[in-house]
Amino acid sequence: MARSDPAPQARLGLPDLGYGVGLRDRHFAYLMRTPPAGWGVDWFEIVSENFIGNHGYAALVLETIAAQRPVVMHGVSLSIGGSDPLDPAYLDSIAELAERVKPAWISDHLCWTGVAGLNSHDLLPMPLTEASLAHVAGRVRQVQDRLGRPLILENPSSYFEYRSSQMPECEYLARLAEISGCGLLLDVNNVYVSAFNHGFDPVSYIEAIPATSIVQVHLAGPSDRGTHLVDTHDSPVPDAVWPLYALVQERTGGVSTLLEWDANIPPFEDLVAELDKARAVRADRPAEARPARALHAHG
Amino acid sequence: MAEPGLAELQLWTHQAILRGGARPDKAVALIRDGGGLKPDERLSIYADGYRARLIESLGGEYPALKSLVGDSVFALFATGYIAARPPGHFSLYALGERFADHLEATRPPGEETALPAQLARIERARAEVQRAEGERLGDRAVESAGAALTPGLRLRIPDSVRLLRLGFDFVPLIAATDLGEPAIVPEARDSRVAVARIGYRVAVHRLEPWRFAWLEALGRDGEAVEVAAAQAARASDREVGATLADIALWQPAAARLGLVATA
Repeated sequence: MARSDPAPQARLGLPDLGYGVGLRDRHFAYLMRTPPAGWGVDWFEIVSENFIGNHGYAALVLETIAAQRPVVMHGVSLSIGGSDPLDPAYLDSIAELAERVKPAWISDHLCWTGVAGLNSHDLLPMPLTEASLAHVAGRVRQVQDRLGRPLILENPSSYFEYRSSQMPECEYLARLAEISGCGLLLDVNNVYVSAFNHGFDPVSYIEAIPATSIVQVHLAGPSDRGTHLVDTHDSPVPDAVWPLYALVQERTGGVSTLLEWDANIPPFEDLVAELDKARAVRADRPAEARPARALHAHG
Repeated sequence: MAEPGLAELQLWTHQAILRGGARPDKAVALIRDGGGLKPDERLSIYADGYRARLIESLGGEYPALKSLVGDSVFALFATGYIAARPPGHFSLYALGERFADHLEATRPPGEETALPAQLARIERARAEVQRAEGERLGDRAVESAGAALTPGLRLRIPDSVRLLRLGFDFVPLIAATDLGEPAIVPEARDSRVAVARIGYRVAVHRLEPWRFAWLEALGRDGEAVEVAAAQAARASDREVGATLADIALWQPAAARLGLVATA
């Protein structure tokens, strides 16, 4: 008798945490003096590297937050696409932090951060080739084996593409998710930024991503430099991103939403107000919020 | 030209991002042409972002130095350091680890030119103490250290203490920087300080020579109070009995400041 594979679980079976924000030290004092019921957010995301080896006030705040709300660990230094070997000390640090924080999941980016022992502290784009796909998939499996959980990978913003690339990023991510079992953190702002910078259709990109692999969404505000957009996380979410966000929520049937704000950080209440826009979009899922395919025309 | 492998492609790209000025042809040739930007302009976005990010990170760790010398001079210091020691560690916290050493090694001759390196040293100490395992009031090791001196008592300086001998008094400048006030030019004079933390409060304490010497003698591993006092007396040309008496009086305050704990 033929056996059919079970239908894939939405979000890899991980929970829909609702609406969250990035935990930043500018808000530590506010969060520590405000009762959790008044925070106005369902969950927090931390930048893992900011808490590794940190036993100061930041550790106390994290401990307090984690006792009240789900926390997700979001890294920037895994370099899953790097050609240097994976850094075992880094993976140990992530595992150690996870033991303390008990995160809902652990994420990083589809990128490389350095080579030959040096670190650019940036999220550099991959050559989207068959060879690099096999390379990254193998490393994802190594990380998942080390951490004992699926790795969640985010699409980065990018400002160049390699000539050698053989497929669009959305196809690369979809295949990576399929062959490695990783989940995807779909940064809708990054789709918008990269679509502008490279002239592709953001709607087609989102539609090419397998909805059941999407575990989380990022929202943020980029900077317009005229010839290109830069992923600066320093402003409100642009109007053009909201229909893309609505499309993701519609396709997934509901997925955790996280607002990132890393420069010119406003008061916490302003973050919650921005997050309320996401709540409104998802509550309505109005037909008019569906994006037009001409969205990419400005790029 | 044959397509480079992943390692080669990443090496060429990384070199193009790290170096200033014109991008090497072989890196530019890797980048797809098209759209409103040329391949070298696209690489420049990453190159500019790399420098800006690291300079900003150093500025965040060395705010008093930045305030004192101004943004432009600080950027020159930081750019020289980044070029000499491009980051290799995954954490940006590690980036500033050798900044003071770099400023010291590259300074022109003269006593006054030692100021930036010494200021960087005390600011790095503050960053380290902020992240270290700290002592808290109420902890047994702190409370025991703050009790009356008993024969044979061994004390240590906690991991959250840094002792520094400096040629300038940086305390007013650091206080002004913390308050967001204009920089105060540090006075040139021999200065012994401890950067310490109790709870989550980090402070810089000016220390008299015998107190500084006593803390040094206690060390991280700990020492009997009387033995350390004798070493402190010798180091500061004081009489041993008087030094031990002064330490007995100061020891409870030192414990409350997070400077000592029981070994």
